[in-house]
Amino acid sequence: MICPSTPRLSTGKKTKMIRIEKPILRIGFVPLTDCAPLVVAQEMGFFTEEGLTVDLVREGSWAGIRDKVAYGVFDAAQMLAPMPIATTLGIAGVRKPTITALSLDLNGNAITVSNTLFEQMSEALPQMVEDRKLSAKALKNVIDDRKAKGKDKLTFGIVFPTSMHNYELRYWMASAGIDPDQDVNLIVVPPPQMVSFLKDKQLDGYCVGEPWNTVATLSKVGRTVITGYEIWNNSPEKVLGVNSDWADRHPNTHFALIRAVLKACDWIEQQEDCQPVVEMLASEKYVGALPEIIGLTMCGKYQFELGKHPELMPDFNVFGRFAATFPWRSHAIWFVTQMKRWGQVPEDWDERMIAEATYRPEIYRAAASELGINFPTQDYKAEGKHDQPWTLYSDDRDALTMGSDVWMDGQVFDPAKPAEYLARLRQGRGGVTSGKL
Amino acid sequence: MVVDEDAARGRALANVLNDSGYKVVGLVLTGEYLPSVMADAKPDVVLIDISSPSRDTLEMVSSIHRDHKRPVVMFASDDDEQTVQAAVEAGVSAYVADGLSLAKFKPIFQVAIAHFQKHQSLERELSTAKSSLDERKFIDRAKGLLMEKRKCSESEAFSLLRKMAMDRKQRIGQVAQELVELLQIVN
Repeated sequence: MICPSTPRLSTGKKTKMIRIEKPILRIGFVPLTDCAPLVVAQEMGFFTEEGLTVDLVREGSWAGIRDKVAYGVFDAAQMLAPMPIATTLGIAGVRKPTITALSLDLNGNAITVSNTLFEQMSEALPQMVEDRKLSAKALKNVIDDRKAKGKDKLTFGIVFPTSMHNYELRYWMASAGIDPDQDVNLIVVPPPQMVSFLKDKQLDGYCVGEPWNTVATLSKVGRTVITGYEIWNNSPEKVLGVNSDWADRHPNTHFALIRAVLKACDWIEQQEDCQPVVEMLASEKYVGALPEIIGLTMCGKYQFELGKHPELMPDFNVFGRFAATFPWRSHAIWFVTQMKRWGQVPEDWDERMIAEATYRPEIYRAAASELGINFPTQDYKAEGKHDQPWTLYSDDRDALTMGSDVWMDGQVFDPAKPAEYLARLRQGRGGVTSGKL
Repeated sequence: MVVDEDAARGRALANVLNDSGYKVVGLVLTGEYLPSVMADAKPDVVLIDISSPSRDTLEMVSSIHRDHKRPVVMFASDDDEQTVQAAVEAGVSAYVADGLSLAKFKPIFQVAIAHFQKHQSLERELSTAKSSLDERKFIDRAKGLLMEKRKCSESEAFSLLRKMAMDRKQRIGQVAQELVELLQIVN
């Protein structure tokens, strides 16, 4: 046993005999550090404890994850948080009702640019090295200069069209008045290829999850200009997705699966030493990267510059705290606003209906209630109002500590008024530091 | 165009397609920069390993923006669920240029599915063969060790192994492997 501490969560002695409809499951994951909850559930026996035998299958592409869940090759999979929405709506490719009742983590991405672009940006706006929120403005200056000199557009990589990475990168750019559809080229690049494309100058920058930012820094190929956390504190990132039919046919299996992963997230949270999780992830079976590299961000440290001490970023990955596992319908509404903002879905589609169909907190609660843990009783929350941890009270339960939720440009999101929010974003292009610079 | 990180499978599919009267304009075997390859080759159909990381790139070159008409993933244009299911299970997917009719695309896709299925069953046979070979070796080792420790005959050693397997509801090969590993640790 690696873990000396007593797990906080347990099904207790009152375990009821429930029939698991499908005890043997195939679950897909992509080799990124935030597959940790699934890996821990497997390695620490939480799946077994819930009566499940799980085959964790490494998948190379997000499209592969989507299709294999849609067509039943996988029972469930680690998905990009907007993916259940995109698949349900059939934005690209398959149209299959897909749901999530469990978030796997918050944060975890960063924007990295080539050394050349980093130099140009820090020349254009030297303060951006200290105040990373100014990096978008620095990029805007570089782009304006390139336009004036008739140079080619810069090219940035994202991991998937309907991903937090895409919306994050676009948000960051637009905050400084850069039009991501006009002023730069955006292309999709598989995460493991990002670093080599950056090195070969096919990319000038990218937004990706770990370990691919740290790898660029440590191999002197690029520099991180801002993390996803700094763009939006505690933003949604990956979820456990299943197709809607599957969930209807296997309710108990779904509950058991959610409980196993909840226990894993809680276990990660309880560890004082992050090394055991790092070692598990580093294995060839899972992420297949050096523990020294994975160990930085997984242990709350970020290497912004080679040769310097890593900066403390305790919330770079959030798995268990801040109600990180809860599938907030307000997050789903936010994703639909971004899909509208960037022309992926028609303007008149109803955010709330989409959120209710795809994000399923009632399933989460039904599964989690047997663990005796504290969870939100509301489905929606506003974003952008807290720059410090805050407390969410739920009925008859203890207070829940929530993370800060501000955006780099100080916007506020009210899930009840998505259209107004979207209108503000569209007006506000160029808002970050206008006047000051 | 064929994109497959499994070089042998990709080459073989390209040959089959060429022999069937289609023209393979590009064969991409490793993580090349797909947007440029696509721009040069201008394929009507891209056949690609379903798990290939390059698929995500194709997704974007495809139909993400509602205002742009571009190649679409097979699922969007194909209402034949069975074909799609077979493709996903075989591990192949396709992207079709806007305007190419289903009638023209379908036969190409069927060839690819059949090819991937064949490859898959070959691999399965190989891995079964390999694991039974491995198990064979462990059973022989375990028998030898038992004969030495218990001073018994070969057939007695084998009956002992079989009894252990039945008691534990495991395959005999598995029991043998565990026994060999255990004895290595103990000694």
